[in-house]
Amino acid sequence: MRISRRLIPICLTMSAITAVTACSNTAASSGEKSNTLTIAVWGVNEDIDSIKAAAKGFEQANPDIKLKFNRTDCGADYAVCKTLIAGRNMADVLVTGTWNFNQMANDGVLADLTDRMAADGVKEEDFVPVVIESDKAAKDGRFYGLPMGYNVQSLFYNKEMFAKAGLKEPPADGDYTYDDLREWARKLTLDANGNNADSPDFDPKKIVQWGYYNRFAIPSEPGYWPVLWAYGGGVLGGEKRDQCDLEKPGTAQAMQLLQDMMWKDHSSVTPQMEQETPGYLRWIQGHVAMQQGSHEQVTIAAQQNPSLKYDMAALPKGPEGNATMIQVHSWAAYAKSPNLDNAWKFIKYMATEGAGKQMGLIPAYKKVAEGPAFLKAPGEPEHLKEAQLDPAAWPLARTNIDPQGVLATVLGQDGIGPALNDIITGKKPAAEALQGTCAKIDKILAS
Amino acid sequence: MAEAAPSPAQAPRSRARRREAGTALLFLLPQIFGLVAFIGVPLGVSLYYSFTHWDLVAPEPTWIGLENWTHLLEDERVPKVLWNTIKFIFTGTLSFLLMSLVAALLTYRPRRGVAFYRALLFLPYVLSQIAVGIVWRWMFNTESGPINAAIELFGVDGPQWLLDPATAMPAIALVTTWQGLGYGMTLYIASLHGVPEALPEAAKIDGANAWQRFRHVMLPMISPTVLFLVVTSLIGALQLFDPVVAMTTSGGSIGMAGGPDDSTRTVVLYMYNQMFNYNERLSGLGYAAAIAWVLALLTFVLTLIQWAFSKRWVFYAGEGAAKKGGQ
Repeated sequence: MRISRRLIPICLTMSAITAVTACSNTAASSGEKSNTLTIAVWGVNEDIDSIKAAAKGFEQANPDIKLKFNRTDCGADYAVCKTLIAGRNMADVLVTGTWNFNQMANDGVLADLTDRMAADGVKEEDFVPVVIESDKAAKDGRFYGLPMGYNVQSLFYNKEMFAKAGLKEPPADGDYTYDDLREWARKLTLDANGNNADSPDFDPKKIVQWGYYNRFAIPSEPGYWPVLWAYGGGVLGGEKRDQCDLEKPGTAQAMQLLQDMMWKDHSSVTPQMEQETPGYLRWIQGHVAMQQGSHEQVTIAAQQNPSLKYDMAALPKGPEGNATMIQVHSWAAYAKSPNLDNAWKFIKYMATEGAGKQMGLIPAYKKVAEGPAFLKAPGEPEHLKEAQLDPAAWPLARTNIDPQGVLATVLGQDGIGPALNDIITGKKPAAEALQGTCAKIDKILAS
Repeated sequence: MAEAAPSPAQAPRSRARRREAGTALLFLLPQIFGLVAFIGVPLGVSLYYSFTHWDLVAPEPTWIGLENWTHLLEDERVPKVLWNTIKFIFTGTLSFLLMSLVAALLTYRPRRGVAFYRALLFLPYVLSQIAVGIVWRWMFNTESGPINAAIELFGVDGPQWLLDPATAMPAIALVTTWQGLGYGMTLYIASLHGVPEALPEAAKIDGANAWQRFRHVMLPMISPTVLFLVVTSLIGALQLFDPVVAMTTSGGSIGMAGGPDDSTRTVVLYMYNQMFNYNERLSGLGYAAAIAWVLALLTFVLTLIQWAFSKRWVFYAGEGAAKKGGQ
């Protein structure tokens, strides 16, 4: 009996501790105002370090506000934010992307920053137009974020390979066509015997150098969407991205080009090779001559192969002109944060004064983007401005915003997943594979 | 008839019994607390959620009655994902049960070096399913993978494996069998060691050949282990998720896993999609909870069926002796 008497208080204490620890939380959702600002950050170590470095200026200017960085995928993956919100552990500030910004705004996760911008004199004109536009929610045209920076899809090429093949480097301003790109890719693809893909002796089973890589091999939208747009096609069209463009002739033409480069010319990295080693790494390692990518490649090249001699050019023209995709990362505040005032202070600083060098992105704050600190930074390729800054003004420079929040379903197994699989594996011609896909997409949009 | 009043000697004895029962209850409390807190409450809460709609962002779930359940009956994707799961049961679970039995029969007798082979076969079981999936994804690579390279040595082109709807699920089944083989083998070996040597020997003397000795002596003796593995592997098969995600995810999103052509999307993957990837009218915790309950009920029914049929083929060695002793 003595044992049981001793056990009772122990059990009660343990239960109390369990109950208290299970219900406790440390982040914004606790509902209490605090001088500690919780910031949800994601990305590789270098990305997070770059954000922390950029935030140093804010910490010096605001010694009374303590910053706490939480490494989580919230922002990159909305599902993670949802679990944090449900667990009442959501951060005060987060980094969203064009791909999920509207869904978060629609769900009431993000705080409306429009009035604060007006009160503090933060003007729309201070930012790159197409980028700041993406921080306006489709539902009401109000601002729910400020840009951290953006990525533009450009052509990255290996200068030595071009020189060796006797080819002129691509015009930096994008004054060339996808047909030119296809021809160069064939000439730059080499087998183990040194034959290029135009040679009758070329052995596609022994390729040692590929001409081209596009993320269509995965497939991921920043890779193939600009090509579709340049040909007058697309996946979702219309201002609200609520129309199916998959059965437009341009979509099939663009996808056929990418399929032919993989399976007819053997000049582009295939899905199988992509599974083994991603094409962008092959380009970094010097096994691919050209790749379509964003400014992140500059950071990766500097880290993994600093001796790589490369430059970049704007993407080529299709029948509809030059097109590129812009992915914007934005600073946003959690709508239910008790520290919204401090959150806004931080967001304003990071998007304006502290802009630049965050997550390897191009700053959207014009003063920084057009200044020497970015354009003349060591390690930046020669044609940075023509390839990365100027295309943001193209009429066909679009973001991958998803106002309906349907992209995951549209690109998945219920949408175009099976058709894309048939195209990238070369099982069906693009036009045949895409037949009837709009009926599926319309059903998704209706649901 | 009135009960007799307890004698003075019985009163302290019943008090002691009550005390003993109280102490026993106190010792059981942590277990009961655990069962209620970690099984009972989540079960009840998930059942409640299945009658609600909640995207996790709204402060509270909204009660929608039977809507999730009626939608489940109309959802065209449900039969498809159920069929994919059944396909896996017929390939992955059956091959696991058979291959691990074969491995056990080959290694259960003490021989020189047998411990090394057992360790080798058990090794994959301790590896992460995601890591295994990623490595096998490369193994199945049709251009640079070693499997197709080996097939090509015979002058034949290998299948497209994970890129073909016909071969994708069998490929996943092959990987799960390879990984689980060591676990099944270990249980079979332990069971085989429990079979008295005299039984197969007596059968041999009676003229039974190797197959007859296995079929009529060894198999009945290890049948409780077979039943255990059938039940647990079936439950595992119904919960298939990690290998599918590791081997079929493309574009970095689980929302795109389950291909090619939806051929490997299982019930659990679909539940995840509805919970986190989709933005349809009922997508969210409520609909995912309803799917989870369907899966749980299916598991329960299948286990009951197996249990009922087990009486016909499972032999418990102690049972006969107990009956004999009782006669």
